[in-house]
Amino acid sequence: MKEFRLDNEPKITSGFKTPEGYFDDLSKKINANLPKNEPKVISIFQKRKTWFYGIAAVLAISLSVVFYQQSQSTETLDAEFLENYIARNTTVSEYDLLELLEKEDIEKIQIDLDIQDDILEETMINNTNLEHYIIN
Amino acid sequence: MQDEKVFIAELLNPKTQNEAFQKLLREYQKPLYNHIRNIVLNHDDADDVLQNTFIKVFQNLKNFKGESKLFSWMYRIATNEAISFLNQKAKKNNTTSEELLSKIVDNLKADSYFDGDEIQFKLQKAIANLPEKQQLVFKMKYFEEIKYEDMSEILGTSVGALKASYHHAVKKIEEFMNGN
Repeated sequence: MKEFRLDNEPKITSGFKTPEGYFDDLSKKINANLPKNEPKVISIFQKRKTWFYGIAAVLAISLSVVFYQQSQSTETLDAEFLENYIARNTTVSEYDLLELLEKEDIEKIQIDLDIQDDILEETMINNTNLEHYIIN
Repeated sequence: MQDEKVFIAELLNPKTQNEAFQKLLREYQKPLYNHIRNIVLNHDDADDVLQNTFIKVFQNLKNFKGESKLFSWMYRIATNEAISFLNQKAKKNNTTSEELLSKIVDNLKADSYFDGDEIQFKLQKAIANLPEKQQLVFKMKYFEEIKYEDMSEILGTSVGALKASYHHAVKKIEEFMNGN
């Protein structure tokens, strides 16, 4: 049998074939999958983003300064604010409070109040529930 | 060379890019398909790899420095895509790319897109027995008739090493053909 020598043989092709019309449709398929060119709007958006973050940062710093200043001044308001809040929202009556106070505390309040007689008379005239308070 | 410089400029210019790329597609789709098909053997796989290759070419045109010929650069992309594809397929099947190719070749007669006769089938089997690099060099020289100088640019291997590789490949193929 003749020895096989590649150079002596007629050219042997690969034996591969392609489907009918494969190359006709190939360009269309490739073009459909190409990345689309992004318009330059992206760079403007990025600039806008930078502005947005800059403004947000300035606002955040300003607000934190305002809140810090407010927190410094609330100390003087706290007691008055709390007193008013309690007066508006409490379910505890004056009688309940009186029960909690010691005799010395009640006497001290009477001295501090220093109600003048004419004011006391006017109050008594205007208060229609006075009888209720006297009887009870 | 001047024509190629002009063509590359057209490919890089947004105004002329689309038309230039269509020209590139028309001119290179068949040679690149054949190159890829010779490596991966199966038509559907070759189709996938070829499309990926052209997309990569398109995406990387702006990076092409002109240090090699345009066609060498494209063949290099095609070769890398084909080999990566085979390696990934082999990994999925828990095997090596050489074993995978052997298996594909054994089933070639059942492939509807292989119409080779007995000697063509035997030659494919002989090639599949070679180490990976020798297979590539042999296919590029024997089937595609690529010049050694161009092959050197594509594969990044010296002309001398490529000639030696081809010579060894031919010897082993002849041994196989005479022994089977």
